Amino acid sequence: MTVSGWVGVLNLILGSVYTSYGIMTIVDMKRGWRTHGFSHFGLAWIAMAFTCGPHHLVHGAHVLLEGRIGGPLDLAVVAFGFPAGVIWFLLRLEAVAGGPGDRRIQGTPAWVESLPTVSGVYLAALVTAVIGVGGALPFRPAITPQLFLIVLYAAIGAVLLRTQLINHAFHGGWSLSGLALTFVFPTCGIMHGIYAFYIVSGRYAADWHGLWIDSIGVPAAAYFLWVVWSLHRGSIHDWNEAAGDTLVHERPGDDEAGADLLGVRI
Amino acid sequence: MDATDAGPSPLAATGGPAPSLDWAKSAAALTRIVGGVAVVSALSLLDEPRRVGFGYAVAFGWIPVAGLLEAVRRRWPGAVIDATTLVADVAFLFSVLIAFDGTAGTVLVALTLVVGFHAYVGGRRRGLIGAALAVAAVYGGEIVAEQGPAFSAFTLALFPLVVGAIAVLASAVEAERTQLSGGLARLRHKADLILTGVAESVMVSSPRGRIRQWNSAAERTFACARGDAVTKSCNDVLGLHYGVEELDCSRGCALLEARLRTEDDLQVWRLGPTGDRQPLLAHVSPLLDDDGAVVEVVHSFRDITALMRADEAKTMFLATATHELKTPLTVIMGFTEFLQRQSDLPAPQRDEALRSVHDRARQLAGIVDRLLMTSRIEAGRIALELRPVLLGPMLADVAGTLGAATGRIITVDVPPGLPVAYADPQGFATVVEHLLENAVKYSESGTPITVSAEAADEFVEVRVRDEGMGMTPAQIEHCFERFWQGETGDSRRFSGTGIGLYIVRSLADAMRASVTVESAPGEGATFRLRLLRPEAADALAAAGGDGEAPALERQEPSIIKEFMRQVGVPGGAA
Repeated sequence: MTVSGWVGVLNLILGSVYTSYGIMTIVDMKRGWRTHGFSHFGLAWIAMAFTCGPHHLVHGAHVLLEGRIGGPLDLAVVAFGFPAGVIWFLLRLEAVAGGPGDRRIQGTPAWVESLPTVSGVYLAALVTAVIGVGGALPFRPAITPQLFLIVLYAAIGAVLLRTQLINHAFHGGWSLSGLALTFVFPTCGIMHGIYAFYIVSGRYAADWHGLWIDSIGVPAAAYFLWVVWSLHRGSIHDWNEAAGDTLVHERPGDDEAGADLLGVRI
Repeated sequence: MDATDAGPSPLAATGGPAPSLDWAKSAAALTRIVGGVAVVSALSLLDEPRRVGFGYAVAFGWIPVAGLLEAVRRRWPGAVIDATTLVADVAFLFSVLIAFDGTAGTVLVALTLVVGFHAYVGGRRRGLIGAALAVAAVYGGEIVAEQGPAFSAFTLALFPLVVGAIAVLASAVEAERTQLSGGLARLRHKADLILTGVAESVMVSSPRGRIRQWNSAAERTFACARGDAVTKSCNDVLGLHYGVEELDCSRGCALLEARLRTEDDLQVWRLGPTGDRQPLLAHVSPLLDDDGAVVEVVHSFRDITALMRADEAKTMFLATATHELKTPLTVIMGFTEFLQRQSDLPAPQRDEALRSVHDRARQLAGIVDRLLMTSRIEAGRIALELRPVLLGPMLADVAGTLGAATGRIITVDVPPGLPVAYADPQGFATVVEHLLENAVKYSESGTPITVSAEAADEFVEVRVRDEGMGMTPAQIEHCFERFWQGETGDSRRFSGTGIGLYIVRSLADAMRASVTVESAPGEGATFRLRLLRPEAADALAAAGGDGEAPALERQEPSIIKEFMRQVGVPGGAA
């Protein structure tokens, strides 16, 4: 299969996955509305899923059906984030089916330990490849949403990474689902970066459908970031405060856990 | 925009509790965005967008959607929808600027109007943010427009100043209006909230007996919606009686006149929706103007039906209990006097008399035990030790004892290997004893009585079945109530205090069990006691349930809550 073919297929799979998860979230939200009320978190994730999903679907359709020639860098970034996305989605399916939805990773195995290094090498290689392929290209307004999305996804990834580090410091070990999700957001950001690069380089046309979807994706991602941050601060109320099918365990305050992370006792 | 400025309070308008706002906010914001996107997307799909034109896009796209959503926004104001509508409006016009180039001047005017509108509605901050967004949109459009600059340098320099000035002026006008009306609106809102929130029915009428205000408690008490009550005559809506006299408010408030005579709250009554007498405690006070003339009359009513019924039930119970206590006492006293007088009574007759005394004394002790248990239940002083209990032997023991005492044949049908259930042994024995006594009392001698047990996944069900007189649906509805008896008055055929089944239900509740009854007149009755199995009880306790319902309902796992845990939200699912 050609590069374009792989880019198209992977994007269609990712698009279907995100859109499906958005639909599952709508169903869950509808089911829980009467008992738990409105969920900012649920709506934010639905907004995300229905912008991320269609973005991939439209991109995949353009590549497979409308003659857009998929770039190798695009394939590289999608393929790099693909395993994490699939693992995370399969775990979500397991959770929906009543399973644990997660796997506990004891200690810090070598592959987890190597993730920062691998990510650094990957980023350096990517930047090098971008410079090698096109260098510094002029700004085009059509990539404005992509630039916002890079920043927002990086910020969401940073929040998730912080959470994983705090949980690791407190509980030891790692959550496979948490690590996968932490990995998904920055790779999505990088993917939008490459997408923007291909737009300014002229390889991808700045089509209306993609531009609209990504433009809506910006407030959706900002809303999601705001919701997650507000929930951490406790300034909004959501289903995490509702009694129901789950047990609420004691969790250290962020300050306490953060201080522990830094080796400080408070 | 402050909620108090939103005109008439929704609480006052509906007379009900505040509606949930979140769904409306979200739906409004989502519809506005989706509506705008849909319109522009649909138009952009046409071969030549310019053929449609900017004016049509705004007239048939943005204005209807924005108008509809603005109505929703005004109905349920809030910061989230304010911000979202502002961004959505500017984004929409920005998209139109791109899609329908060549209409740049119109876009400037439209953006200025939108910013002015948002500044007027949302205040200076929102107006300035809107102005900044509009300027950004115009400058962004200049960058995006591929056919070259649409505006002159002068226009581009002037636009931020104009749109900023419009925002400031519009917000200043709105601020002035808000300041003038704000205090009054807040007071009105507060009054509405108080009127709606109080538990008592409040009605304000004119001196001539026309209803002017009517709160939600009044809607419930008088079964009359606010819209049907306000402006109507008190006589037509309330239909009050004081003693035997029907109150006539057509020439002035009759309650106020009566209140001035008695200087106390009045107990009045009316015929309720079912035709029963509905007793009400009424308090009336006049609102006077500066000259001391009555301008309005404030009435508050408290429905005391439940209080009266409880009082009646307690009175009935005292009469019944006294009768129940007196009957065995009379027998005991008669026999003891007889034994005192007949000191040389033959041994068989003396034994018979002593047995009667003993039986009546035991009956008396049973009545006193029940009364004491009722008292302990009401005081919340039942101490049960819940643990896994093997029910079979206990059922056989209770049935055997009662069968021997009453001379009735009670069949015990317990399958071998019946699993243990979660119960207090003494409490369980008392429950079964009361159910069996009930079956003995309300079934003919010689008809079968069966007590059986069966295990399900999460509970063990004990059934007590008789083929007696049975109960009507109305009797079934009330049979577990305190002091309730199927027959009342002098014509009743069965003795009892009306607390046996109340004790059954109370003990069942305390054991996290449930008790239900199936019956029909003439077809006997089957009481079902469902006791949790220990593993189900543990699961219920772990889930934090209060255990009122023995049939455990597993909730579906929530992917939103599970996802929140992934994101590390405090208190998220674990």
